[in-house]
Amino acid sequence: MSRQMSRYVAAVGWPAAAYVLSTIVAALLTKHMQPGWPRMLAAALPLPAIMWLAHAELMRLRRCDELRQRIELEAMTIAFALSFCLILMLALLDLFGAIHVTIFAAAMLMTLCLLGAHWWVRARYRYGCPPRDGENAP
Amino acid sequence: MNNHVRELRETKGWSQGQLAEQLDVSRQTVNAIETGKYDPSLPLAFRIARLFHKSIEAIFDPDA
Repeated sequence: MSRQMSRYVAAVGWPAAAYVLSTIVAALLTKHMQPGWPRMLAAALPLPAIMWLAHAELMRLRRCDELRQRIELEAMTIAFALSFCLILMLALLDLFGAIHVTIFAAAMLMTLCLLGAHWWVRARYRYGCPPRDGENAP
Repeated sequence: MNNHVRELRETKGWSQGQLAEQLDVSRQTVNAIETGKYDPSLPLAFRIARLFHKSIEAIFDPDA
């Protein structure tokens, strides 16, 4: 595991694990429950973990250096705009019966948009590129 | 924005990593500043200027 990845896991690993675990528990519980208040409460089980994860991400972002913060924020902004437009288009196509879009497909699309935006912004700032000859030499 | 960070760093004989350490940023940030891909924030520009004992205008050229 790279140093960057291990730092990321140390920062958000526990809340991410709590999120995955609570989502699995909520999915298993709601599967066997009748519609009503108890089922709604069970479905809301991952909410504290989501808030913990969001807080951990925010704290991680605050500890990053300024270029890294710029990259993260630019990627999130681009991904939000892109995924909003794409999902709106797919929702309209779904509304008129042309295609059927599941929540899972929409979530995957949002993730792909974020990964793509991240890659593009990092490439633009040459972030993570090794130094060229002489750049790192005294 | 054009800047003279690389020339100043090389004059001091520092690597990008050494400069980054003194400025409390990542090496990638120093690299992005030197290649003109990223303009530093005002606090970082002041830190760079103080480190090289120069004014901000002497290091960063907004007209380029």
